[in-house]
Amino acid sequence: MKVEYINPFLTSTISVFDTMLHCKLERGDPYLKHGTQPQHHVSGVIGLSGKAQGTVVLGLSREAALSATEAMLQERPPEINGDVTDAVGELVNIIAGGAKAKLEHLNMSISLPTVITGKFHCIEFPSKVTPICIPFRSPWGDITVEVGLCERTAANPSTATPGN
Amino acid sequence: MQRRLLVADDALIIRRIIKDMATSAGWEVVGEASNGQEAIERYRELHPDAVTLDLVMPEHDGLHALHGIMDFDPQAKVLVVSALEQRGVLKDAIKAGAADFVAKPFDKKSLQSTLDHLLPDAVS
Repeated sequence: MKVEYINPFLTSTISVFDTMLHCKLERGDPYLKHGTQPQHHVSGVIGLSGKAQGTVVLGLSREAALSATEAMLQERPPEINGDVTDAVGELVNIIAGGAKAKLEHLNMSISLPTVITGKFHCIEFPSKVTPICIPFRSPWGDITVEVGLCERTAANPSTATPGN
Repeated sequence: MQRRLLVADDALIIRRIIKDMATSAGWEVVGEASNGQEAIERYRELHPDAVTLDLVMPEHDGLHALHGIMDFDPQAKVLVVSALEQRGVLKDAIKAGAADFVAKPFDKKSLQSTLDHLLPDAVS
């Protein structure tokens, strides 16, 4: 995956958390993710397709997901519920939308977001894609954004089909 | 007299955020719509003072709604609240008569301020 695809997701994530949630994120060093081990309690997953295809995952700890929802709705959910999944789904949707605008040349469309919750859930990327994981520190706990994108070529038009 | 607002967005949580913001700023949220056709129908039915409109919605999108609303009421105050995914669509919205634009992600205070500017003389 081209490294230049990562920056739009990084800046979009920082911008969305700052503008909508008034939460300052501190980014860590990106790394390649291997395997499907879960990192977080809540994952917002969205597919991208166009001249590049792939999947973006916003992962949040339980506390971060609850606090992000509270910041959006001014009301703290008592548990991981429909409000939390709506909030995380919309966050990953806006993050992907912001990144997409900066990758206009790839002419990508965004799928509807899916939100997965639970301590032991796994997100699997297509085997040909090694996603890059960007870790962030927040006052609410750790957050990650995983991006697995692959350019489509005439010889290999089906690479990086979004999957979760 | 309270200013009356219609909120059109396919995301329930965004409608809730806009409703909470508008209500606390003295607006009465008279209706909601989750797609473009529903926005037109709710506008015709409710005659709100202003509309917040997402451009990216399933089935009939926000541009469809904007054209339908402006055809029905050329004086309609439509505030586009949408992602800047497609700049061409934003230009089309302004050409079609959108009064103003707030990009997602938005700050609630900026949204409130822009919304209030649509009806500066109204008494809240």
